[in-house]
Amino acid sequence: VAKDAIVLALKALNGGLFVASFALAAAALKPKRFAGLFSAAPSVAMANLLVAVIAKGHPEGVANADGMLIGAAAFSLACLIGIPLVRRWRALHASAAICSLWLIGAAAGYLAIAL
Amino acid sequence: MSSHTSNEPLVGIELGALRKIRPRELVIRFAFGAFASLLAGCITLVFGARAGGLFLAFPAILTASLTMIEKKDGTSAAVHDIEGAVLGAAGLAAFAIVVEQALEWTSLGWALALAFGAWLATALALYFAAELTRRGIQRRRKGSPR
Repeated sequence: VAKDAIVLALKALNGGLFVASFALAAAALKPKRFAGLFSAAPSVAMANLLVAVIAKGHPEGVANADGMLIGAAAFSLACLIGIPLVRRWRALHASAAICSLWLIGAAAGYLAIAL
Repeated sequence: MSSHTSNEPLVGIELGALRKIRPRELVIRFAFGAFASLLAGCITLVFGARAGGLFLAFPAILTASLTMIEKKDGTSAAVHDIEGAVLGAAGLAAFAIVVEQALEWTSLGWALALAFGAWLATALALYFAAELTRRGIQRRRKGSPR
């Protein structure tokens, strides 16, 4: 349990640092459409895989990457649907909708493949 | 895609923009990243590594940034940001495929480096293709008689 807690804490710390770093990189880039590429940078993935593989070995990373593929498909879909939402609604509401769409898409994709 | 044009370069860097970022904005982004990673870790512990892997592609930076971009630069800039994110997200699939394969035969460091390279190459290729096509269409529209 203690080892799991340490691994979780390290993942959280690492995730925060990677996301903040990629967000800084995106802020310095222009035009905005180009900077947007970095809004979908593999920051959480790199942060987590680094800790997961060191703590539990390569098979853990391979299984993580397998699930990530479904998450990435859901991300693309949520962003595509999100474009008109950002135009029509405020960004805060659109962001909440994108997160919900991503969650629904990822869960549906995972269940479709797992079942 | 929106009709913002351009004579502006396809790619540019404006380091001065970093000075406008307030510490609070960085803290929010850090919190989003930490939360997404914590969630991925917890899901891995409860449901297994494959289910936890879904959250490695959680839209953490995008959701943390959209509201701030809209506030600072307007709705149009936020739309441009998410248009770019669509292409970056396609690159995430390339990242996942490469890291999954590379972890079978090489070290973690190399696997991550190769996967990041695959993300960058895919995202840049899609961006240049989409942007050059969009600009070409805009130029033709401007050139054609009304």
